[in-house]
Formats: sequence, C-alpha cells, structure tokens
Amino acid sequence: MLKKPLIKVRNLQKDYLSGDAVSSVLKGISFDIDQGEFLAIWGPSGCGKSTLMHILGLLSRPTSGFYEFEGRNVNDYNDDELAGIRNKKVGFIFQSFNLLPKTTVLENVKLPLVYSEFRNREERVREVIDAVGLSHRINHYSGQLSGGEQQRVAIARALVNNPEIIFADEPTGNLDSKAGLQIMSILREFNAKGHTIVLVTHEYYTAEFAKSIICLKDGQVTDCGLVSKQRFTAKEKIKINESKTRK
Amino acid sequence: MNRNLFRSIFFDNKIFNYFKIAFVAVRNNKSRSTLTMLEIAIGIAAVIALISIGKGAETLIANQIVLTGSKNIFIEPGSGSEKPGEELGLGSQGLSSWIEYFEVKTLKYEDALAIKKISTIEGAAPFIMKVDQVVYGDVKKKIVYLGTTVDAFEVVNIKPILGRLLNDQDVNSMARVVILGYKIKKDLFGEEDPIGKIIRIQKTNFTVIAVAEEKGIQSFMDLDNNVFLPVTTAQKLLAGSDALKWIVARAKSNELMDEAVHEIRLLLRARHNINNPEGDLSKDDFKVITQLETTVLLNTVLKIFAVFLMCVASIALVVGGIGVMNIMLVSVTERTKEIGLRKAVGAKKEDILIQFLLESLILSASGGLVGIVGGVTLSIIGTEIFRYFGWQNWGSTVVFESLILALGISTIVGLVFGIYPALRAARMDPIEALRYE
Repeated sequence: MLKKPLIKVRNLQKDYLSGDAVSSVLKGISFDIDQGEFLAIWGPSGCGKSTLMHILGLLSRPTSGFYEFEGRNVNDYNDDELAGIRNKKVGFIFQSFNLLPKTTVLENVKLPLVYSEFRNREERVREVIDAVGLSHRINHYSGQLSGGEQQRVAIARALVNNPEIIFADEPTGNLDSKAGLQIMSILREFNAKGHTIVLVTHEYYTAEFAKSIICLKDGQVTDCGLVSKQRFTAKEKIKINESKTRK
Repeated sequence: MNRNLFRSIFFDNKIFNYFKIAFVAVRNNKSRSTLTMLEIAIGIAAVIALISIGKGAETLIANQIVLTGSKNIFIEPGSGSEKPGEELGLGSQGLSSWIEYFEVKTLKYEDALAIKKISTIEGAAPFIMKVDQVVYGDVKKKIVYLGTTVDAFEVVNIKPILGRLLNDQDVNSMARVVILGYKIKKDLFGEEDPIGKIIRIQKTNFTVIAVAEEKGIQSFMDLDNNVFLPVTTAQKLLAGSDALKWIVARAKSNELMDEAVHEIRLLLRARHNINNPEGDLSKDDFKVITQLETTVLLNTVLKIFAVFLMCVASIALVVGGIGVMNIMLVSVTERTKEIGLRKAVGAKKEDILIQFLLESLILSASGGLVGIVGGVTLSIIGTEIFRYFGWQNWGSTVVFESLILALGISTIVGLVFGIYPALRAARMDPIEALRYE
C-alpha cells in the first residue's frame, strides 16, 4: 500500500514587497513530509527557513506553488478554516517560548483547547504537563519558571491537541546547552511515540537530532553533503554549545 | 459524575473561558481599568441623577396642580405682556425692600371684591405679602405675612388644625388676629396651645386664632412659614400701603376658565380706566396668569433643563467611551504577541473579536454598575436636600427603568467603542503579531 505523505510541497515560492522592490525569500521548494517523520530544516539565518515553517504551519500562504496538507490543497481553505486546522492538527514551539507570563502553567497549556471542541480538557492538560515532567509546577505562573521549564510548558501546549504535526522553530535558541539537550531529547521521545516533528534550526548539531535534514540556502534546497561531513559526537555538541553560551 | 459535569461547564465552556480571559486582562491592569470604569461611571451617574431629578420635579408640579387646583387665576400688578414670574416668598429683608421700591401698586382690595362678583368666578382672594419679624415672648422669627380674606383658604385649600379661619367680620373690622403657618407655630410655641395667645409684629399685638395644617411648598411659596391676617389690617397697620401683591381668583369650572380670564381683563381695564378695546396686553397695568400657563412654562423650563443635562451626560458618556476605546487600543497593542499566539494555536477572527469586546464590555458595564450606585446615592442626597428646603412634594427618588437604561447605555458604549480595537485585534496577521516586540 502506498502511503500518502502528510505534507507535500511543490515549487513553493514566497515573495515580499518592500517598497517597490520584490524580494524572493523562497525560490521553488519541493519535498514531502511523511507521518511519523522527524525532519530538520537547516540553514543559515536569512535563508528563508522561518518563512518556510510559517507556510508549512499554515500561518501564512505561499505566493505561488502547491501545498497539500493531508491530501488537500491549502489554497482551498479560508483564514478561519486554516485557524481550525492549526488548532486541531498543528502544534508550535517557538524560540522565545511565547507563554502568557501572568498565567499559570495549567492555563498556558490549556490555551489551544479554549478554541477547540475537545472534551475532558482538564485530564488531557494534566496528562501532557505530566509528560514533560512539570506536574509539580502546574499552578505556578509561567513567568516564574526557568527557560528550560518554560520551553517544556510550550511543548506541552503544542501536544495538548494531539496534533498531526509539531513545528519547532529554534526551540533551543534561548536555552543553555543542558536545557537545550533536554528539550531535544523530549522531542525525540515524542517522535518515538509517533508524533511528526519538523525542527527549524541554524545549528547543524541540533538538526542532527532529527531523522532527516533538509538544507536551505538562499531560499532553495541545497545539498547537505558539505555540512554533513562535519559530524559531532554528543560530547562535542555540548562543548560547542557551552562555548557559545560563554560568548 | 457531578464533578465531570461541573468541569464541562466551567473548564470546557468556550464562553466561560472567554469571560475568564477578559477578566484576567482587566484584573492585570487594575489602575488603568479602574480609571476607565470611573469615566463611564460618571456619565452613568449623571444619567440616573438627571432622570430622578426630572421625575421628582414632574411629581412636584403634578402635585401642585392637584393641590392648588387648575381653576385658579393669578392676577398680578404690572404690564400684561411681561413673562409671568414666580414669587418665592423667601427673600431677605434687603432684597424685599428693594423689590418694594420698584413694586407696581396698581391692584387694590376693591379690585378683588369686584372680581368676586363676576358670574364665572366663585371666589377671589387678595394678597398682601411682606417679610417681617414676629415676636412671642423671647422668641423672634423672620416670617412672611400674608394679608388676605377668607377666600384665600378656599383657593389655596388650607384648613386649620386648630381654631377658626378668618371671616368677613375680621376683614371689615380690621381685627388684629393671625393664623399661624404650621412651622411658625412650632417655632414660636412648640407644643404649647397658641390659641388666644398674643404675638407681636411691628409692635402691634395680634391674637392667634388658628394654626394652619402642614402644606409644604405650594405655588412656590412655603405656606408653613407664613402668617395669615386680614387684608385690611395688613394694609393699615403693617404695610402702610393698600397695594396688593396678587389676587387669586377661582373659576367656577375648568370650562369657564377662558371666559373668566376674559371677563377679569375687561373688568380691570374698566376699573383702572385703561382704554384698550383691541385687547393689547402690553397696555394693561395687570397680568392674568392661569395655573395652566404656569405649568406649561414650568414644564418648558424643566424640559430645557433636562435637555441640557442630557447633553452633559452624553458628553460625559462619549468621553468615557473614548476612554474605553483608548484603553482597549493600548491593550490590543500591548498584547499583540498574545494575539499572534492565540491565532497560531487556532483562534479564529471571531474568537479574538469576542475576547476583546468582552473586555471592553466588562470595563464599561462595571463602570455602569459603579455609576448606578453613584447615581442612586446622588438622587437620594438630592431628594433629601430638596425636602430639607421644604419641597415636601418632591417626587420619588430613583426610577427603576433608569437603572436598566443605565446598564443598557453602558453596554452599548462598551460595544460601540470596543468594536474598533477588537476588530483591529481580530484582523492582525498571525506572523506579524508573533514577531511584534
């Protein structure tokens, strides 16, 4: 049986108007993402990886090209329908966590459920908070937590709807190496349980946690051959991270 | 099982969650929210206070008409084309002597007697009115005395609670007798029986023959603070002038009012030798006012007053509404990132719209509630003040409908001025909102 891919993009393009000049951020991107995959999109800053993630995450639309989500062309949906799909099938993890600071962990994790028809919300919320190991913090304000804990709250929030796919945009970018490693291992764990994860990062060693890597350069998919030769052991990764933190 | 039901109502309910979000937003900016609420509260308090004051005045006027009767015709000295004025009877000595100096002295007791003989008139009371001091023993009190005849008690509808009313003989013999207003009796005699006691006005002794019942303010005179005595006595012994302040005549029926007014005019023109066949009121040296005219005039004044207050209240509410809009715009801008996040996790346009509309509604409706408390308090205080100054007939305080109206208005203000900020939030692009710093 031929399994249909969860996401299918063909010749995806995105242009931005700045004044009179048109700048092309994505210049024809094509690939598939299958169910259960753990894909990293790697590239230097400005290569268009965040723009790509926003389109894949249904937060914005491509200028041209073809994007099929679960076998249906995304252009067929209006804005509110896209919001509905984001709500049911997509989870987001951001570099800056994007939690509501004056709100408890419980309420933060519950946020996507406010906009869904989910039943037995409280059980589900407690379940995912437990899964990221923050049961003891459930009634704390998210502003009181450490960066690593905050990102775990964000992961719980991304998981609470039981989404088809999770997008993580530089999830370790604001964390020290230890917390970063913890976050990556949590993501791996959930991937092992069957969640599809797309990781966006500019650090190759972070991208290496994924099962496969797509490399972007100047808005196009390039050969990862060059970078992939620089392989690091886990210990080396920690070292690099620490030197980065010291800086 | 019950716990699950409770949860599905409060934890899972969408609207409940929207309310919670909005409440948290209001709570997180306490001082800002309180100030915005106060803006609305002031407008609402003004609306409630003005409605209840308007109602109070309306009741007062209605009571006046019922009590003094709509068949009364007031005749005042002076040009007939002047606007009818109201005598307050509360003026200070200085003011009243100043008024006396300019007083028109064209109406006489004989005019009243003549008017009484007109076929459509059933009674006519002359009135002399002066401010003076009354003395009983050691007690001195400033009073308004009214020189009049027995007809006065008919037209103003006063009954004695003690003693007897004036009679024709008192008037004809210039008897030195007085009837005390209810308050004056209390002030001078307390619980003592005043009948037959002697009081002094301008060193003349008067025998108290009666005490009038409590009347409150009528025809804009505080009758309880008046002393009544025969018109002839007042003219000769106290006022030193035979000029009348008014004549109050009473028509035999409401239908005969117009005819009676016309006949009074013809009679007085004849008596005062005024050649005025064309009926030009400015040539007359008297003016004739009916209770109806006074009421119409008063109602007009009240309506202008109400419109004026309504304008002030509307301005206050618009200012309050702009305050709400301003705060909501600040709130939307401040929470751009939150809006982006909510959209990312699946909030639709309407979800964001409802959330921010609820927030402005909570601000304005709670302002409305505070305003209701303030407005009711103002109305109660206002009523007490009016009653303190003797306007016993001042109407009931707070109109229930005005409370509903106030809540309605504050809700509408919240919606109208909240819609623009809420729409702005709902229309935000999720990516731009998320990137906002």
